[in-house]
Amino acid sequence: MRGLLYILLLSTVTAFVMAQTPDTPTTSLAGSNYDSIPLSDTIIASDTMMPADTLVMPDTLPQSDTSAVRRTYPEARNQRRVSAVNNASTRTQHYNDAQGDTARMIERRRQRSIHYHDADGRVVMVDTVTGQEWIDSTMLPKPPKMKLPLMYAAEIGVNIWDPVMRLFGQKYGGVDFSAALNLHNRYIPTFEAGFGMADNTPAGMSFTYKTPLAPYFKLGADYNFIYNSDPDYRFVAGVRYGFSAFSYHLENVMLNDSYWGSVNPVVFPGQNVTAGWGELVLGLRVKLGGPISAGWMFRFHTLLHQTHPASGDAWYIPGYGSTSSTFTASFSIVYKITFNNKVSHTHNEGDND
Amino acid sequence: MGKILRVILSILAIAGVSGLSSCDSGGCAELRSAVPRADFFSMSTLKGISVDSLQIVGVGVPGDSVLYGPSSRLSTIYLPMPPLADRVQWRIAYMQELLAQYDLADTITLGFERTPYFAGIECGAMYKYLITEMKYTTNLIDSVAVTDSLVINVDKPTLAIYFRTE
Repeated sequence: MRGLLYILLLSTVTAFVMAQTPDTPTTSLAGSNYDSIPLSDTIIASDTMMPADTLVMPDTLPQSDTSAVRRTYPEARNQRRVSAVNNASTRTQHYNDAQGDTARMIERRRQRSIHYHDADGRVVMVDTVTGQEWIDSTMLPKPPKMKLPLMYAAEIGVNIWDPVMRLFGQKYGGVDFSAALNLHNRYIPTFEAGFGMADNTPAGMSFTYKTPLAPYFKLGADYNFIYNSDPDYRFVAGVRYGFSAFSYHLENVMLNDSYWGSVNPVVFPGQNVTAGWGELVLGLRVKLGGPISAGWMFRFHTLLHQTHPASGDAWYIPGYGSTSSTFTASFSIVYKITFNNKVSHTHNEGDND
Repeated sequence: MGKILRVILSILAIAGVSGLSSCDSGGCAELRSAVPRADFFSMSTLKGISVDSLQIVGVGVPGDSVLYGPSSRLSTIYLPMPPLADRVQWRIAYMQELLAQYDLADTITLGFERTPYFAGIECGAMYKYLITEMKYTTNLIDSVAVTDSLVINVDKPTLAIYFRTE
């Protein structure tokens, strides 16, 4: 009924508009302009909703025209509503039905099936009605999150970066050793310890900077992004905290004052320093052969704390390097001791995710 | 072949990283020695001024070597400290045409403590000074203020000299 009313309303407006001439004044509907209106149409003015046999004209008519002509139409016959119902439940009805059907179908099939274990231990369903073998996907084991076991391996390595760089003229450095525990080939806590020293006479300067051999320590962990791949290769990112306690002094210090005209030796006493720093590391590991692998790391470091002696801050910190550098690197030769290399293909309840 | 490639890759990686790790800040950004800096001001306006025809000499310097002048127009001066002493005296002579006949000069005397100081691998080793005493004459100098008693190799004002001006 409502749609019919909309159609009738639209027809009325269209007829009204078509009956207008271009010069028809909009303020008046009476007069010769409407002489062509069919005499069969009677018009009723009303301010309320009318029964089906009458129709109120739309508000497009000028309000000042109180003698507006209104039309009625023959009574519309009752009809069944044919417009589709469109709401949230009907919009998803087809989807819900399909889901329910699939689940019910699988359940009915499971109820009429038997199962057995094949040679590989997998469960095989047999439909007793059709005789077909099928796989119940809901019973398939989940792939493991981490294939390698928790205590997969331990690694010990030696960092040869500083010794190599000293061959190229670096005036400081030492050597350090590392020990790491490989957990699931994913989490790798690491401990590093080493020694460093410095002996530098800068070009054009009249002093020698010296740091006696001093220890340093680093503690941190790496995360292997390709933990489910070949464990002989690794791409890691990690963090470290480093600490060192050392001393430095200057030797052969000669101060040349151009105005007062003197060259004066200066006795520079040793200064005791402690320093701590943080590192962000990014590295690769590749297998060389057997249990031996090589890895290099790119390190971004920053000093977290250090003592400030009255005679000036240290230039070199064992394990950190030159205090004026932001980046450093390491190159290690590593020996891996494998504890348990059993690869898990399925996810068990006891697996640590 | 795979192993060789891995070793080569590692070597290339080392070479690349070594270039980055060797990037240190080059050169000394500060002074190569600790030198007090004195700025000139007018006592009447309290603003910085330039003084014409000054001659500045360190008292006791070998050969009476002149540090500035005699025809210098100065607003700021640097006064190097003697490395083996604990006092220094600077004589400021006024060589303007109208004043030269009167042989006018002022003297500023500083007493200090010196300590060996390492200013970094680029700037080197030097002494740093802590000014403990100051005296001055007042012929044309109205007053002298110590703005910072610690003298290191940073270019910052140590003394403020106020001259009598109209």
